[in-house]
Amino acid sequence: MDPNIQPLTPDILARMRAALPSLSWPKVDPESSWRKSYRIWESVGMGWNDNLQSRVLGSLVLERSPIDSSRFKLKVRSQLLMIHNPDGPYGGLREIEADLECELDALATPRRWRVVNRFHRHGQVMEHLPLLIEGRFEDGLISSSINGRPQALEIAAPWSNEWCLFEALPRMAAGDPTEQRFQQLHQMRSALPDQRLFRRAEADYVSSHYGPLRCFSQTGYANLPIDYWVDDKGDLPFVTNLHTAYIIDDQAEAKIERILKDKVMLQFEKEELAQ
Amino acid sequence: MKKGMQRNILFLSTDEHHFQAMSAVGCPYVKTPHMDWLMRNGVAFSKSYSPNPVCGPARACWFSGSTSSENGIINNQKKSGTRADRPKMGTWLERHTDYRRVFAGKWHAGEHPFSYAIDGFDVILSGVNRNGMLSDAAIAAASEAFIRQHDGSQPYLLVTCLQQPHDICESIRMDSQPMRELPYGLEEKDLPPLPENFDYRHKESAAFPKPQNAQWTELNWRYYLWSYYRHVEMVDAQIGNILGALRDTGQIENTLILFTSDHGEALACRRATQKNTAFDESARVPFSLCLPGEIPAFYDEETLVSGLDIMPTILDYAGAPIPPSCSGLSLKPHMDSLISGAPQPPDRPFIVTEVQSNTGRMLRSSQYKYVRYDDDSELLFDMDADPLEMNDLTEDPQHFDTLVRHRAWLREWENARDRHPDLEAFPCK
Repeated sequence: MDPNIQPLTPDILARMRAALPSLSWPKVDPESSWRKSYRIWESVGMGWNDNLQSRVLGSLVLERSPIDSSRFKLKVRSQLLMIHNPDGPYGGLREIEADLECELDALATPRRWRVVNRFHRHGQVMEHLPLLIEGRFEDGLISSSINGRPQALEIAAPWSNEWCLFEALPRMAAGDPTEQRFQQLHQMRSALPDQRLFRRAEADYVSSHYGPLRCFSQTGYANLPIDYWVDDKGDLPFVTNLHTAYIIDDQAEAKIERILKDKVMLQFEKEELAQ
Repeated sequence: MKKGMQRNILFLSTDEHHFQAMSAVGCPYVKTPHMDWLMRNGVAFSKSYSPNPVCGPARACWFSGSTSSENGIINNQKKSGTRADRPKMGTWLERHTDYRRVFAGKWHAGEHPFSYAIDGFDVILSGVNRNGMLSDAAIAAASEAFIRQHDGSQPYLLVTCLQQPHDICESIRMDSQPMRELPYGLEEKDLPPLPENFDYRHKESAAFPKPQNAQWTELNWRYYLWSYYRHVEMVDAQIGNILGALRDTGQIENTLILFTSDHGEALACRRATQKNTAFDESARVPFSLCLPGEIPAFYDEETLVSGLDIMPTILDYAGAPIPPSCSGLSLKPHMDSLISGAPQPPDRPFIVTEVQSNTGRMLRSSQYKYVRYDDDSELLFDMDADPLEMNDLTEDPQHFDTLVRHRAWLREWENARDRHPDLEAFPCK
């Protein structure tokens, strides 16, 4: 075991060449219209350098647009590569496209949603495997269906979803961040009770690459601790969860397209490889 | 002759799942409502063992029906596939039944962990090696989509091999620093205690697990236990989605569900993490068979069950003949006897688990566990009196006859195997 291995932080991601030290991101008003793109990356922790088990796994793109003073739309596209063997090829993909209408509250509570799941094999969508989730939250009750069939969901406010938390964190960081206890509707399918989202000031630090970073953490049922790293402008460039990281990257989807086209594993950021 | 059967079969597995890591069996550190349903709505077997407690070999046994020393897959490094001259589950079903055979998730049966080319199966989704946190949701979603679109025109065998709680291996690797205080606002009262056999060591064997993570403090060990249960909850949530699809579509009462894991997890017993030993924490696994409305709910604490029984049981329920190369037994006659109200458990005095790249074997009888390694070291435990395996009886004169009987059984078992030509003979005591 490499004695240096420790939980992921933004600087460790830079050291592991998962994030460029020169990485920058546009500053946006969290309540405005914006688009953020994250690369999903993992390291199974075998070592720092030339870690063949480190790789790009997918992308997460969020697009926010206000509806009125109390609601906004959140458009989500998530791609997760399936890996057949340690060196690729990548011929399988799980894709999620979601349209959510959310409340402008602390947890960005979803009010209406439509989530399309697609499974790709050898570059083709498997049309015979549809999974469409639709639902609404009204008067404190959730009504949801999967492929048109009503689904029983035991979940009550306060509640949220992991995509919505990416939207909520910058707003939370800009205000008075009080601890939130809630239920999480994971991928709008799995109800995870007893979640806790809180400031973890003891983990804050001034990154030599990315400036001051404040840490918010989520713990709870069926979750290993998730760390949300917020910068001094209240943006969310990194989210780390055990050996997985979401790294802000406006080229994330292009990288996935390239991996699927070339069937070659992408591990490290180019600038670092050149050094 | 092809036999059409209308009953669907779901073979649902977790990965690295300690046999007691479910609330249904009294574990207070985890909430597993969906596994609990599986354990309480069918026959749950308490004495269930992996045929070889490490990923690849266990799965090679599941899908070939033959032991590691016969199929040749003795460790995770072996990628040659199981013996070509022996039937495999998917192709055998294809040949003998009308079942549609669908696979989602982790394969690793003597080949790469994930594959879109599995003999006899239509693979709907593979997965991401070592990232069950992300890929289990995808594997479960693909399985759910398959179940929801099923029109009933053809019975199916759906194999869904989920990956969690195997990510605990990554938790262990990423926790290399001595822990002096707990992170995330956790308090000591939130953490599970260390097991009673945490500090237990006895005579050394070449294959005996060496103490691991020497730099870990007690907090590291207990945080590792806490983390493990969160991984278990993750996979439980995904099992809930699959069971929900069966319920929503009315298939739950027409689907046999076989639930198990490839191997266990050390959970700090003997200061160890992970698996690949003959001790119960590594070799013993959850196992249940559910067919709501037919198979009665029953917690079976007596019947010995092996992962080698999976292929003959599935074939039997699908109406296919069981090839003679299968080393295990179908559990269907036992289920049928429970349904008829006259229980007749399988008539076999022991089962055998192979460990450590063909350097050790464990024989489990109804009361005892006998282990022998290729350096001739032996262990003998009275599992009724000593379930934590802390009192080795090999030197106890009162158990000499028991030792001799178990040695003879293991020798008999070894001599009956059609050993893979690439494997050396195992020395007989």
